[in-house]
Amino acid sequence: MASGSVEATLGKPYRIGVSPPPPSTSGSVIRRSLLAARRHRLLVIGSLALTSHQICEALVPVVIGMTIDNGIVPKSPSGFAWSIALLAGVFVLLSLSWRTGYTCINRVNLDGGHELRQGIVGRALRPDGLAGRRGAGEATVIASSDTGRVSALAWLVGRQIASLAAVATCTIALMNVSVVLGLIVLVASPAALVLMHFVSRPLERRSDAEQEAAAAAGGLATEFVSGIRVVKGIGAEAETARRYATTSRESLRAAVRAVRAKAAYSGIGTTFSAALTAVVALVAGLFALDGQIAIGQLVTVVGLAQFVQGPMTILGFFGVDLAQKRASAKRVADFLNTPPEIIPAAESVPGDEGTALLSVAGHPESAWPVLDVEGGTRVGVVFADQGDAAAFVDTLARRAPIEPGRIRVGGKDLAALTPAETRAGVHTQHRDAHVLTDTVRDNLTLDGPLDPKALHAAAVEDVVAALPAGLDERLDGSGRTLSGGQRQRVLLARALHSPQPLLVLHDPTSALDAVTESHVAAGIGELGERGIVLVTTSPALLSACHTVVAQLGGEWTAATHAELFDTSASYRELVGA
Amino acid sequence: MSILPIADTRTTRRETWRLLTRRPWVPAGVAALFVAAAVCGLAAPALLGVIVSTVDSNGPVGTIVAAAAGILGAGALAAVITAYAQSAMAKLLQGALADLREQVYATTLRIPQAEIERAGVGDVVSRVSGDVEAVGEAVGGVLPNFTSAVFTVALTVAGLGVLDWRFAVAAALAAPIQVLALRWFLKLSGPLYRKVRIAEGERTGQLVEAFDSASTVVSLGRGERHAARVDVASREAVELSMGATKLGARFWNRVNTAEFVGLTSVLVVGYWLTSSGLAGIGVATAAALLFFRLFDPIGTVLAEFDELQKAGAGLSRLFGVLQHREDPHAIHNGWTGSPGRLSVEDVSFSYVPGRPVLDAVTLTIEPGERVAVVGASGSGKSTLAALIAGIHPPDAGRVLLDGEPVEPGLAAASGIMLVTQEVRTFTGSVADNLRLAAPEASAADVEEALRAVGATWAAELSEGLDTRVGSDGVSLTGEQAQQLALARVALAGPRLAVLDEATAETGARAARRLDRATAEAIGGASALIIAHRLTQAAAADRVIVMEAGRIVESGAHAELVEAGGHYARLWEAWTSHARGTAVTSGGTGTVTS
Repeated sequence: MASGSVEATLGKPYRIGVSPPPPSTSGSVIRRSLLAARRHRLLVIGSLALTSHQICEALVPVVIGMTIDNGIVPKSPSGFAWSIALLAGVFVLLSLSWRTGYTCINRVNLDGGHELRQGIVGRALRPDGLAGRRGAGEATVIASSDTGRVSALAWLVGRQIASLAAVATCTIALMNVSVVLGLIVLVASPAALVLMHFVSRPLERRSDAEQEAAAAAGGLATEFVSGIRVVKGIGAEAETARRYATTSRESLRAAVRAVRAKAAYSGIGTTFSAALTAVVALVAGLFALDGQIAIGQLVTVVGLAQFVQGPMTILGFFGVDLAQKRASAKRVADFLNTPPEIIPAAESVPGDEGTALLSVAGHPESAWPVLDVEGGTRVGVVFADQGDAAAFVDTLARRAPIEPGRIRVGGKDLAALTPAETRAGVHTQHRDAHVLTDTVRDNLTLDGPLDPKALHAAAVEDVVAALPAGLDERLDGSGRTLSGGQRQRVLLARALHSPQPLLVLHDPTSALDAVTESHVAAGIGELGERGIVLVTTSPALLSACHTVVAQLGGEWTAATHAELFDTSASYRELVGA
Repeated sequence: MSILPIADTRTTRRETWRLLTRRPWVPAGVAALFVAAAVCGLAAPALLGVIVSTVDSNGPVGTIVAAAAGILGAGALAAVITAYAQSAMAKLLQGALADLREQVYATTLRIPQAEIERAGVGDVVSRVSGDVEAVGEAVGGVLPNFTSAVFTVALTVAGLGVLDWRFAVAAALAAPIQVLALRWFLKLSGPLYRKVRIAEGERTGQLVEAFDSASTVVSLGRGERHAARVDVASREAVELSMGATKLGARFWNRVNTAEFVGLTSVLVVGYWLTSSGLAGIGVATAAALLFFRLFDPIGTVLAEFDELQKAGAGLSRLFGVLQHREDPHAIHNGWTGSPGRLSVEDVSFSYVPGRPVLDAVTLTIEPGERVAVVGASGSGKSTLAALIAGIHPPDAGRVLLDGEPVEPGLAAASGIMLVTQEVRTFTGSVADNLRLAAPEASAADVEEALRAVGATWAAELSEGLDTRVGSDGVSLTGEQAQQLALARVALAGPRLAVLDEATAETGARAARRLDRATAEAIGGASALIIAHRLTQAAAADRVIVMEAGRIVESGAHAELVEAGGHYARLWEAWTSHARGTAVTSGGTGTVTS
């Protein structure tokens, strides 16, 4: 658990460095996803293959027309055979192109997404922390959905190139048959796109509304079922069922509305496509009657008119798709650019190096006390306000800013230290510390054997004894395997295993019963060698401290717990006796 | 863990059929609409055939114009009917789905708590959210297109047969290849997709843990270790997805082969029929175009089959929940009657056989009496609370309220209310949160309950009691959330309150406030209070002390302190800490102030 090993790598293609990388932009995120690690080569091969596939698709109706013109109409066996051979060739090429394009592009997509995801995780776990608070939910969405959307740009690129090629092929084939017919198809199809784009707006609104309503119903169900102990405890089953039914009906109405809009939309699209087919069939039929084009060419033209609408639609949605993906790329870039939680002051205030592990020079508004903590000392700190207590602990953990010259850790000015350097001198355990998904042993320490004294002091032995696999039991990070009291004892044991000379513990026994708490207090009292700061209001823990500093009526007073308890009514009130 | 039941394929099919045919004329009408739409869709290639034969025979211009007009008319008609058919189907299916999910939700709540704990809350949550979503997406997104495509394929093949039966035979040559390809694909893709989903679930789990525990991970210097874990999980998902990609590419190659075989066969038959004078060029053209038109709908059917299978899996998990109908009692809210008399008679219980957590416990709580339970972690006090609240049935012995046995899962209906250590605020307003326990309560009652527990902050919220709290509203402190939990008790006025809430998490002052709130919330009810602080015990009418699953002492606080037993020693230890007589030695700390 060496906190100094932040620069070590694990032989992985990424690295959590301490120096911030150059700022990311949505462009650089997209380039990293699509082009880095020689993905550009796969992207080019894949796009060419998809292009070849689209051209082959466009050629199928052309070859059908040729078969009719060269084989069926003249009743020529050799002409027919050659045409079928050509068709076979087109299908072989079509199949191979698809296979190549599909695998290459998806490789770029998946690998690119993976690399962005690791970038996000690396940023989130960098030793200097993240400024501002981001929920785990939001970060997870960025790391899974947004990275996926950005990397799917590989598909957008490949399909755009292929669609362009397909439209060009159709244009050449159509113009080859008849300039007039070519112009009809090439003008009518984009016009249809514009129309459909206009028609699709209410559709988007309704499908958004549908998704919202479905999410609301799903969210309600999730919430009530996850809290089923509470729901059952207060007998709210019928009431929650009634509330769920209400949102479920709303979701039903929204879903039906959305399908109606979608059906109407595709109905309009089908009608337009039928109209185009009718016009092309009419004009081509008249031309064929005139002898201007052959029968097979008539078939080709009708087939192409139907086919070309697909790639045109893809080209038409390019702008919308790209905008969506750029928005995701920007969210990824913003996350990567999040400034570190704390920027160390450029210059430290020189001072007495001394032997104190921690020396606190007090606070202008008395928000925290004056302290000097040496090795082997236990100091209790009792705050009048729990918010101030949390702020003090945050400051010591280098999670909150501090002016230079106020606090020294291991003789160095805290304001000039990075969070990683701070952690070399002090281990701070917050109230919101997490049990990690690991075995009990790995939760406690990763290096070296377990310390029986620490296990005993944290009263964690009977927690371990109650687990089927004991120390090798794998704990669930969300803490479902352990009760609140058990979890807190594991966390305390982990803190006691930390190698730093100074330990700061914030309310380490709040979830323990009185019996276990007094056991823990006695155990901590026997840990001789290290410095411990206990930020707590627990009388049991405070009585195990050499000295206690308490905020009494705005003033900080230092004495032993017994002295404070006997002399101060406000102290007695603070510690809850 | 033993997850909730999953319905087998036969049951799923039978139940789905029953759900959809509650009014049989509705699905019949929908099917008729789809047939009509597909028939109209067939007109276009047939009419193109007419144009071709008109050209071939140098026929009148009028026929070509009429045929083109027919293409337009039939296309428009097909579009309108398809739209109607899809809407009607959506209404039918979405309605059935809504009924299903509401039944599933209601059934879920009736499943005994112990069984839910065994299955894992995650499994139960995924039934009412993930599975419902999967089925909903299939019903709303895939099924309308799938159904249209199936009808189009069926009628196109029929149309080929109408032109000449030999075309239908030729087209049918593609079918065995498609069926074999699909069966091959589904056999391999099913397990592979499941693996992909499991790997992606694992990746998400690792991501959530990395972000959720980021500050802990970083403070322990374990950043690289956790980044490497996400890397492993993400890599695995990537490689499995690549496997699925390659499988998909091979599948589509086989579909292409089928297309080629079918198209060539139709062209060969066309060549043969025209050259032997059995059919005209128009017919051969129409047949080739009809088959060419099949490429897209067949692709849709093959591609979406997979999605529908996934939805089928979700459906069988939903019907699995409905198989849970063993509880004949209706759940109802509300109870009548005064504070109850609780008798626990010789109750024993163990989670793991051979390791009793409760050992022949006997306890009586008189109406209106407040009893506090004291004991170390693992002494069985929370388990006792769980048994009284009907969460677990006792292995031996009985739990009675006013002489009536407390049925597991029905404790709330008989007036026993449990407040657990798990404090939860649900999305919704402050009033919504309270009315969960008493849906009929008036605004005045709600205000009164909040005042009783000292939640004066509620009145100062921007929209008062209608202010939204929880995930999308004002976020509450731990103390405020606990006050809401207690206010629910105050509002509902139970006959017996079982309080297992840990009030110590929030600091000494807040704990004292919550102790007062607890007393107010209980009011005149009988109460069992799991004491996490000895002050709670001192304030109760009677204290029982538990050790290793047994009650070792019982009596009023003062009596027990006098008696000099376990409780007296605990109290002595606690007060000595409070007075600071437990002095430690050693160390040379200097403190200045």
